[in-house]
Amino acid sequence: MADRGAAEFHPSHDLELVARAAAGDLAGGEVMGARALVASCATCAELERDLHAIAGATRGLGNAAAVSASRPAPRDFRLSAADADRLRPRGWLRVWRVLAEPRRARGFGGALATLGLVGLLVSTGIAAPFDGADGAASEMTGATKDVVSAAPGVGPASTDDAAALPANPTSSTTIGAREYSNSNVAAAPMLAIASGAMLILGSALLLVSWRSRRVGS
Amino acid sequence: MLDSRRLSIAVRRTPQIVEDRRSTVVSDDPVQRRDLILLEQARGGDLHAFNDLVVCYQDLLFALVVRMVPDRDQASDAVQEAFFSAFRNMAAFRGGSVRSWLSRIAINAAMDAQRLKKRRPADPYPELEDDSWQPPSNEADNPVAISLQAERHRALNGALAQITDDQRSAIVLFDVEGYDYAEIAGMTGVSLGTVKSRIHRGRLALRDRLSDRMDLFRG
Ligand SMILES: [Zn+2]
Repeated sequence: MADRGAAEFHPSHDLELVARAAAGDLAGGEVMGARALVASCATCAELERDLHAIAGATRGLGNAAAVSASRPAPRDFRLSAADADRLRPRGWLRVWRVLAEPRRARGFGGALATLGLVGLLVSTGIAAPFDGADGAASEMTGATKDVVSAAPGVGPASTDDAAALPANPTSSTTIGAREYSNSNVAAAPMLAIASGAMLILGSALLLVSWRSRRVGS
Repeated sequence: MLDSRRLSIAVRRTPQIVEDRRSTVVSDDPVQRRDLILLEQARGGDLHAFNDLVVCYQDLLFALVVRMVPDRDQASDAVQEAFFSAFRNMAAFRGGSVRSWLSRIAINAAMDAQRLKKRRPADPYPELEDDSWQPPSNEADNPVAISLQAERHRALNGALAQITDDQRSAIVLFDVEGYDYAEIAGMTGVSLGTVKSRIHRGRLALRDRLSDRMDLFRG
């Protein structure tokens, strides 16, 4: 039986614990703690009873299905032709809606995200080796210059002569590699941008698919 | 004309099963079958079919939303938004119950309305005039019991209008509409613990608001 004398300690009691006990949402040691509290404090015991009564009364308010059977909505919510026209998706939004349909979104999203990821990897793969080749070529060109300037009778001032020297195999390879790498390095950012866009679009579609699955809509 | 009131609508207390089926799958439930046919026609561009769905569910959705947004004008706007949203997102319907799908959209619209009110705080919600609805009761012939119940409902609705939106929504969805904790967590985008906490704190807040009227509810 609740002890009236314990009521003076009531302000320090955990009322949410009592609310959880009233709702049957306690587990383990909390049940014992709540029982002890309700048994020792008359105010907590009364609170528990009141919370039971309030929950019961709230359930008795009648759910929407019951209430709506006798209480019509205050206005008519039917859509006019103008509403429908305004709400129908157009242009890119229409394309997005078609793509974002849950069943399609998963497939399209997965494919686009994968393609985007592969494209990004390829684009960084293209740029990286040729960055290295370019650097190596620069080093080699520097080394050639050193050799040329160190050669007796060949002055560093005669650049035209140096250019007119018999084709140096190292130099031609360097120039060829640089031209090739330049064209690929120029293509890499475009591929990276396109791949990034595909990755973002694919991820967005996957997110839409995941969200609609979660909401169950 | 299709009229939902002629069709019995089961009061749901059990967890809802979200079926992953196309809307073209034939259902055994005549209401469900009707809804799926109408939605399929609406998806094909038939506005009348969509409006038949609106007529079937507008009373239900309003009754649901007005409990969460206890201002009839704001609740009406939220229900209208819900139907707009349903029309815009028909393609996203993944099958299952059209009624559950619409209810979820309406609950989202109600929460949007609550957020809008939070951003533009004005007067508190007015108390709902809710005494026109009485649940079926064995005490129907007893005028004292009817009057007591009406008074209880009025007091409870008044108290519900005064607690926080989050607490009210959780209590309405759990106690009144019969959704379970996990469903409410999914619909409101919060954790299970937060849903429970909102319900418990909401009931404590209701008790606080009803402290001088608890005699209506005791024994
Ligand atoms: Zn206490």
